[in-house]
Amino acid sequence: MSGLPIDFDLAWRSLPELLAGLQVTVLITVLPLLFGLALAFPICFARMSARRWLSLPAELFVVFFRGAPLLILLYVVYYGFGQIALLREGPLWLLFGSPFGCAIVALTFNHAAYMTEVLRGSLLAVPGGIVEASEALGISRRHIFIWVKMPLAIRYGLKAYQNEVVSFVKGTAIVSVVTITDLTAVANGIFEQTYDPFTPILCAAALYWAFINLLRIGFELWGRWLGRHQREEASPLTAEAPRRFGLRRLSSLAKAML
Amino acid sequence: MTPSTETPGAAPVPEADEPAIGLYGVVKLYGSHRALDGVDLEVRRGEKVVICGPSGSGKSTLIRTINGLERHDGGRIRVNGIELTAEEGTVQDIRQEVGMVFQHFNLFPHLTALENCMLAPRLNRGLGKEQAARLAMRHLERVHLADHAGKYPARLSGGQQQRVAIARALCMEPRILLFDEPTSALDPEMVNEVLGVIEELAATGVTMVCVTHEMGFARRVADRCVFMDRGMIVEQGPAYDFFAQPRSERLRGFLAQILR
Repeated sequence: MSGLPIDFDLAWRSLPELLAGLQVTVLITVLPLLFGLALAFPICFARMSARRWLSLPAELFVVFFRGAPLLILLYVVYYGFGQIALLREGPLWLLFGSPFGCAIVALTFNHAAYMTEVLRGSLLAVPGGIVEASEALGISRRHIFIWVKMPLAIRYGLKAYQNEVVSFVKGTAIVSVVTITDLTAVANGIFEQTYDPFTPILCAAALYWAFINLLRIGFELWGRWLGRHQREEASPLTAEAPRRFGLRRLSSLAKAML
Repeated sequence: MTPSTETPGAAPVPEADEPAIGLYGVVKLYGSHRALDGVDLEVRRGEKVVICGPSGSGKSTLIRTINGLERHDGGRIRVNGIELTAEEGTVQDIRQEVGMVFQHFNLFPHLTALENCMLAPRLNRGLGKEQAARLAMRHLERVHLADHAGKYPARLSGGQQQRVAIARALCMEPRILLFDEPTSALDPEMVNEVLGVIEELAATGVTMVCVTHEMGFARRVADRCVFMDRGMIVEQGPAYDFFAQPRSERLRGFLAQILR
């Protein structure tokens, strides 16, 4: 033992297994993110509709799935739906028969409920005057949504979306309770085999951290690209020569990271 | 006015003497408040009309009913021979003919000046990118902003933003232009550059309705001035008489306030 709580040899040996677990985690993150987002649009439109028979069910959906604990939601879908004979014999069993399918469904509904609200808040933040100006130009409602409202809403909602995605990634760890071997489950398995309480869990944490920061950088770049209209443009007169990578730059970088 | 013999839905073929804008007994309600209380106003083709009045008098509401941003609750509105009804299609038809400039510019912040001007022609008329850019450039030149075409609104001054907004409206080549207090949100030193551009436009023969408190501008440009108070037109007349010999007590009081 090195005195550190980490057994580097074990960490190295279990790396392939952990990476396989990370792959599952990525899959179980990305699919519900896509499906949930796609689902959030129609639900959001219904929620913002003036027609009560449309907005009420959408509101109930949001209230229910935001309020329901993800763990219990997962249990209900995985253990509960199997009890329904009709479902067991129907075509949907392809989906609900596998733990993976159940997890995707539960996570998707959870994410859709959150995203409905993120989307709604962002759309409501678009200034009414800008929408009016588009209407006055004779632009159709559909085009106003696509070319004016949505581009602005994405800019207003990007930070909230990033938050939701980051906490969602960590939330996926609970899928291990329905026998999916995601990153957390792999780390747990190694712990149970070796009784090393630190190494596998810390390695898993490092991989989660790396994944989330990769996403963060992606968001950062996306946000910077979207925010180009607010930046000072670099005119040839004022643009500074690129500074060399010196101590000054390092310290400012460190400050920015803190 | 002879009574209209057209059947609803007939193709809008405006007669030569048909006014560009006709408001007949227009009423707008906010709850029980009558923001417009039976307004009659006809604007001839090519006429420049300035509307003034104290705040809350209904002048902005009036101008916004003309292109359906506010839906009227009573009376009739005809624009370029099109009757404005509850039907969505009629509003869209009217908006193709009517450009509007707002107090707060309302430019698209995520698009450059050029792209702001290109959006409506591309979407409404299906112009290609290059065609739309050429059109937009032509109108940016008219408002003396060709050099700033590539800038985003956040990088432009208030006066420049308002001139982009004017160019954006011009790109739809409207026959009628509505201005809703176009200089009220501007710093004083930028007012004249915007008024100058509007005056240049006025000389082109387009029909204009402008809500403004710039009385010097009204004197120079307006064929007719309209004074509103409490949702009604109180007095109207040629610009010269309007300022020199106001007939009503309310207009005298108002002019005394703003010309102090």
